[in-house]
Amino acid sequence: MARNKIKFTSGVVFIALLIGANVLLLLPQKYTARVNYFFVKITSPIVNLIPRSNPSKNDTVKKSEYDKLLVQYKNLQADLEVIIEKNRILSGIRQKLPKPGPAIVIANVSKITLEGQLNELIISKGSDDGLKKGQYVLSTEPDPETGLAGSVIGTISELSKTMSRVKLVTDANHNIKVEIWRDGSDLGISGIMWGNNKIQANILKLQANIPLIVRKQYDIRVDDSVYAKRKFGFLETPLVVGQIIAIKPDDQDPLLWDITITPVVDIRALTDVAIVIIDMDTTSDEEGE
Amino acid sequence: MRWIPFIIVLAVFMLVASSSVLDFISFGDYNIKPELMLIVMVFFAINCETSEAMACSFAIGLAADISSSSMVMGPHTVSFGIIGTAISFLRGQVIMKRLIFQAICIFVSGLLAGTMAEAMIYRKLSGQTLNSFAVIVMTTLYSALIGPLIWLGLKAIFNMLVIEPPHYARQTDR
Repeated sequence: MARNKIKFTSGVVFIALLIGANVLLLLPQKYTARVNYFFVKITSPIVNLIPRSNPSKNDTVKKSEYDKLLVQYKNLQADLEVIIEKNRILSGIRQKLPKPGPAIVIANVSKITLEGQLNELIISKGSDDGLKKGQYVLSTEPDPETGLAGSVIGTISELSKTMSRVKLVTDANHNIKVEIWRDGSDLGISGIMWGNNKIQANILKLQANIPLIVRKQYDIRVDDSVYAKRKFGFLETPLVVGQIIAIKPDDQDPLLWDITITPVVDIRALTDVAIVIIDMDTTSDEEGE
Repeated sequence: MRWIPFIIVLAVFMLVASSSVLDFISFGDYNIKPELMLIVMVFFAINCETSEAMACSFAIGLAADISSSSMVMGPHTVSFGIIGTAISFLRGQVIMKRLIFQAICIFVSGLLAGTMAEAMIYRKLSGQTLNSFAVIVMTTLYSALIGPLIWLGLKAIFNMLVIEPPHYARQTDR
């Protein structure tokens, strides 16, 4: 006897698929984001094979200069080996102290998203490595002014066990308390800085214009540095975020300055980042950003 | 429709969409680039039979959600599914053979699907919006301009996925 074949009408198929899609939409973000993290994890080795930006003339050097730089690089690498060994010994000592200071976790950048009004990173460390929402993320590239690594580039916005999303300081949904410094000292001026996602795609350096509004009565100048303010449980000392490149009175409130800041690092070129972990017991509820 | 080759093709498009390949053709302060998944969805919605077009649209929407930067599951699945289904029903009324009509179809579909998806992302992420309407319009316009060219490549792939060649419209469903 021939088997009866069940045939669904187009309407039934559509309603079934729509219900399925809505169930997916209604599932909590913390569960569904795992699928996205898994996709980034499995595709990042292939996706990262493609360079993130076009090499420009400024990125190339002559052969003679290249050879000289290569020698310097090898010397520095040898020095680095020695420092790593010293650090290994020192970290062993620090573990024996009753209250450890801030820890730094280094993570690889799996994906950089700079599109539309979204400026984010996906990094290869998650809650299993002690990361929590709101923790500050630093660049591992050296600051061109101070030569020190560690300018603030964003904060952790979402986590899975093995991966995290970092909202960059240039993201329109990100804001951070900052203060203005000049010649290595705090001017006592603080304000809220938020991103506006402006990117000039044709050049390597990310030109992020971040308006910062502070009271007009203060003396602020171009080239002053902008530091992320101390935040209990998240940041013990102020850290540099960027440099002021333009100042003008705010269009809507004449009592305020509208300040444009540029980050000190080229976010497109990031391969590794460092996450500051102050207190392992800090809860994400304290985070108000 | 041969579904396993379709899934493989979709996986390749997901990889391209999530990589920085499209950054090379991006422009403007907001790094505007074409939405590859939208172009693929409209192509399949126009060229497949109604029931297959529905399944393809939902599947492409799901792929767009998995590979999207917003990392929110559901918005594109719902919006692409609804818009793709609507296109598959409308294709009997409009011939899509001319490039201008293809571009208009991508533009209108992208505008509707993009706005729906952003609204759902806004709701799911408790007020965090990703793109303003101006960015959606620019992205959709760019997709509409470049879409018909990508369709030329998709036609060759489509022939491997189905038995019939692409017919653009006014074909009776079996």
